[in-house]
Amino acid sequence: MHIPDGFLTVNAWVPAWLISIGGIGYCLRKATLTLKDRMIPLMGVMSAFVFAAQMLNFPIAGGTSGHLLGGVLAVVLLGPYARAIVITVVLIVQCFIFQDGGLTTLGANILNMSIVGAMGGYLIYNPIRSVLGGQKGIIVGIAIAAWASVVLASCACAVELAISGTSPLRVVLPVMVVSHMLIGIGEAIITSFIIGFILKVRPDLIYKI
Amino acid sequence: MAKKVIEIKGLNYSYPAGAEALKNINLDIYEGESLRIIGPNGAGKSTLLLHLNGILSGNSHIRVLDLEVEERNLPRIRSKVALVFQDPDDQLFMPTVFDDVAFGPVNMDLDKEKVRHLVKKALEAVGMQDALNRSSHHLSFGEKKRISIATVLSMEPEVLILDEPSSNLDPKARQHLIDLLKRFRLTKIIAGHDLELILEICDRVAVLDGGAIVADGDTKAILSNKSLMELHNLEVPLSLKLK
Amino acid sequence: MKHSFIDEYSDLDSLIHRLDPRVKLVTLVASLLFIISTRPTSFVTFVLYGILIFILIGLSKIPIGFIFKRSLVIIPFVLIIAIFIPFFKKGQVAGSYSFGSVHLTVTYEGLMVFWNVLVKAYLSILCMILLATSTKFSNLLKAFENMKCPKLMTMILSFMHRYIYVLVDEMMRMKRAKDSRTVGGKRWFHVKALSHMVGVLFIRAYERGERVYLAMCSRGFSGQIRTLQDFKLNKTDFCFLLTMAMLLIAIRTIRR
Repeated sequence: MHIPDGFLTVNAWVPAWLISIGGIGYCLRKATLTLKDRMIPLMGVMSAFVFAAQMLNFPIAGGTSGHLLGGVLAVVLLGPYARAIVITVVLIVQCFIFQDGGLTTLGANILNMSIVGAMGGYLIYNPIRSVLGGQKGIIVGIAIAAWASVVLASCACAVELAISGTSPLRVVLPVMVVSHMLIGIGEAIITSFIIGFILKVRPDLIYKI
Repeated sequence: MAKKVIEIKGLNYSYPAGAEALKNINLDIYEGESLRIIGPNGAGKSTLLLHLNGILSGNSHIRVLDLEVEERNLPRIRSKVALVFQDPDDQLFMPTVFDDVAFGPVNMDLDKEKVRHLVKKALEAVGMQDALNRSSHHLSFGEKKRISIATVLSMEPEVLILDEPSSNLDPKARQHLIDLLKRFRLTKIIAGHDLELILEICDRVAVLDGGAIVADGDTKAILSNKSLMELHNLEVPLSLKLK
Repeated sequence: MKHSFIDEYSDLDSLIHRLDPRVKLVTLVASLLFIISTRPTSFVTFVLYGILIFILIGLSKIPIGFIFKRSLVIIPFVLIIAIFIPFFKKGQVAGSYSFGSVHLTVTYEGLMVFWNVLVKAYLSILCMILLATSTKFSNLLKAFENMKCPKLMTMILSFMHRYIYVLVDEMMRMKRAKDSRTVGGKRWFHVKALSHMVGVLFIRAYERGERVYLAMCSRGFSGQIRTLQDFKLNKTDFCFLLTMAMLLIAIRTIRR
C-alpha cells in the first residue's frame, strides 16, 4: 500500500502532494485548538505508539500473519484531526528511515492512508455510533469503519495508479479493492478488540465528540 | 536558622477522578538542607513533588523562594526549582544530549554562548562531557539518569528535586550517583525508598503515608524507630540495625 | 528490539556524512525527479544513474553489502504492487501461460511498464537508503525546519523518533512476558491477547505523553520549542551541489 517512487507520474503525485499539504495544514490547526501545548509531546508519543503497534504480528489463517494498520483505532482514540497528523508522521518516518514508500509518492500515501482513511473512517464511525448508541454502537461503528477505511484507502491508491497509466482502472481497482476487503476484516476484528479492552479499562481515553 | 526556601501550609489535593492524594501537608524546607521524603508506594510522594514547582496546584498556600506559587511566577520558580522525573525516558525527550541539556536554558531566554557554557558545565558536573552529541536513545540506563540530572543543573537551580533517583540502578551507577549528589551544595529534596542512600546524603527525613506527613525530623532518629518504620511499610536500614 | 542498525553508520566520517543535511536533501529530491522522469527506454541513462549512486555510496564509506541488504528488505513490498502489471496491459503478446483454469497473457507494453516502475523504484530506494544511513534523523529534521517545514511538524517527528525506541522496547517486553506464559491455545485467544497488549501499550503511551509534557513544563516549556542550530554551508557543500547538478543534467542529455 505504500506506493514507491516511480509508480506515479507527475499528474498524479503533484496534485496528491498539494491536497495532502492543505489537508494536513488544516488538521494541524484544528488539533492545536483542542490540544494546545500538549500537542507536540502527545502527538509524538502517539505516533510512536502507532508505529510500535504496527510491528506486532497477528496470526491469521494458515500460518500467515498480518499487522494492524491502526487508522480507525487512532480516530477513536484521538479524534479525526490528531489522527490524520499521527498517521502522516508515521508515514514520513517510514519513508525517511525505513524507505517504506517513496518520497515523490509520499503525498499520495498521506492522501490515501492519512486523509481519505481518517476522514472516511470517521464519517462512517460517527453516525453508526450515534444511531446504535452506547458501547455496542462504538464497537460496531469501529469494526465497520476500520474495514471501510482500509478499502477506501485502496480505492484511492488504485485511482492514482490508473491516472499514472501504470495500470488501467478496470484492472487495478478490483484487484486492490478485493484484496483489501479481506485485509480489512482482520483490521476490523483487531481494532474492535483493542477498543473493547480500552473501554473496559480506561473509558475516559476514548475520544469524545 | 537558614533562609526558608519552601513553605507549604495546609496543602490538600485530590485527583481529577476524586481520590484524595494529599491531606493537610505542612512543610518548611530551609536553604542548604537535604530533605528526604519516604513512604510506601502510593503515599503521595510524587504528587507532593509536583506541587513544588507548580505543575499541580491544590488549594493551599505554597511559597517558593519568597514567591507565591501562581501562574505569573511559574517561569521564575521553574528556573529555580528543578524537578527530575523518575523515569529518565520522560526526562530526556529531545533527540540529542545537547538539545536536552540546553532545553531549560534556551527557555530561559539566555544567549547562545551562555547556553553552550551552561550545557558544558552541567555535563561536566555529572561526568558526561563526552556525551554531548550522542542520541538519548543510545545511552545506558545509568547514563540516562546522570544526563537527566544535567538537564536541570544547566538551569542553575537553587533547589534540586529528585524522584526515586536510584531506582533500577546497578550498584556501581548507584554509588556514582550518591557521590555526585553529595558534592552538590544546593538544597535537595529526594523522594524514594533507597534508605541507605538517605543515610549517606540526607540530614532530615519526612515520612509520608496516606497523603499525610506522619513524621518529620532527624534522619537517624526516624530511620532507627522500628515501630514507626514498620507501621508505614518501611524498614530500619541494615547499617543502623548493626550499630 | 535490535534498533542500533537504524543509525549504525550515521557516525562515520566521510565526504557524504560531512555535507550539510540541506544540501543532501536538495540533491536527493533532484536525483529522484531526474530518475522518475527518465523515459523507460533510456536504458543507458538508468545505468549511468546507477553508477552515480554507487560512486556516492563508495564516497560515504558505508559498506555496500549493508545498503544492498536494506534494499532487498523493501523489494517485496514494491513487487506486491507491481507484480500484476505485465499481465494487464493491452498490446502485443509476449507470452501466454496457463495455471489450471487461469490464463495469463504477458504483453510487451505490460513488461515495459513493469521494468519502468521497478528500475525507478529501486534507484530511488538506493538514494533514500544512502540519505537515511549517512544522516542523523535529528539533523534531517533541523534541515526540514530550515527549509520552512512547520516547526510543529518537525517537533512531533522528533518526539516520535525519540519514543519509537522506548515504546517498541516496551511492547517487545510485554510480548515476551505473554509468550512465556502461553502454551498452545487457540488462534482466536492469541489475537485477543495481542489486542489487549496493544490496548495496554496505548494507555501507557498516553500516560507517558502526559508525563513528558509535565517534564517539559518543569523545564520552562511554554508552548514554543526553541533549539539552537547553526548550519553553515561551506565550499565542499557548494562544490558537491554544483557537481551533482552537472552530472544529473549531463546524464540526462547523453541520450535523448
